[in-house]
Amino acid sequence: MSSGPSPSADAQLLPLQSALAAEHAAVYGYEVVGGVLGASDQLATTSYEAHRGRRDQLLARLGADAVAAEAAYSLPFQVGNEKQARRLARLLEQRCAAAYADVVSRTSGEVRLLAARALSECAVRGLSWGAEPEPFPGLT
Amino acid sequence: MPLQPRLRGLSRREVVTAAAAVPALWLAGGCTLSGAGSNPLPGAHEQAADDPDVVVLALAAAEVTGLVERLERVVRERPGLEPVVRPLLRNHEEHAEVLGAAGGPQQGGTPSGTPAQSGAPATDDGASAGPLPRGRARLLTELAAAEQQAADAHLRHVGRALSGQFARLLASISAAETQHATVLREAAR
Repeated sequence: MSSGPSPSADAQLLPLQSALAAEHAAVYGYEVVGGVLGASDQLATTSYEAHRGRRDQLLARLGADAVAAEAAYSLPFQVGNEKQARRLARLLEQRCAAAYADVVSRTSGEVRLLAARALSECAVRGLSWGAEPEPFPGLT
Repeated sequence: MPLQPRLRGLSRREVVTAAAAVPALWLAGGCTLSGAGSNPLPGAHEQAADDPDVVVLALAAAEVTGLVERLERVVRERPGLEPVVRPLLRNHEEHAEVLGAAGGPQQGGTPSGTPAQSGAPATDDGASAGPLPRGRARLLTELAAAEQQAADAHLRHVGRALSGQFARLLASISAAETQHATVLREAAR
């Protein structure tokens, strides 16, 4: 990674790289989810668009230093039916929530709040996919 | 790149350990908002009284205590809603435990005079004093609003906390409360 405009700006933005990596994976994962559930599945579509939006937001923030998506991702388990697709979606939300929780701990100010809001959004989307409310989203 | 690395987050034990730093200062210091600096604090904790995070903690704990009391009352007076409310109450009790608030009947030993124990919590706009709303939907909608209000307050605390780990804990609690608000709004339909 090349140096950014200032060390302090770099220090704020560096933690966003792991969140961006999680969003790249989520965008890929939701393509798989959408492939299984079909293009007419509203939840899959809105979830995909939400993560693509966050990804683009992080890409814009990080500029030339932004980590790129991997050429390929391996799925943690076979995703061939609705139940498996929903399970993958819950997993994607958990992973992104954890990534944003990490960003919160390593940043301050506006970047930290952006991450905290994104964490909440992941937690709520997880519910839509069948997750139960939990005491510490993103931490466990 | 596999999708599953770092899937395993922190264990519950690690959460509590990571979160313990600030509440430990609070409890060890035995300080109050008004009496900050007046208590002799031992060694490593001597800066606790001046730590702005102590104030944030007190405010956050008061929010959680207010929700615990409100949901306990709902369970008591509207047992029919217990299946909806009980799991949320359990989550709040965990929040209270981690924040060192007076969150459960089994808990004691928090310093007297903390905002968590004295008077109305910040979230409480008097609703807990009067009768609960009559209809199920109205009550659940009111609870959802209280959860959302607490989530918003905790989000503001995230911005104020100096400690990154403490901010992370508060962000997670805020996310949990946002989940609760969602569940309650759904149940109100």
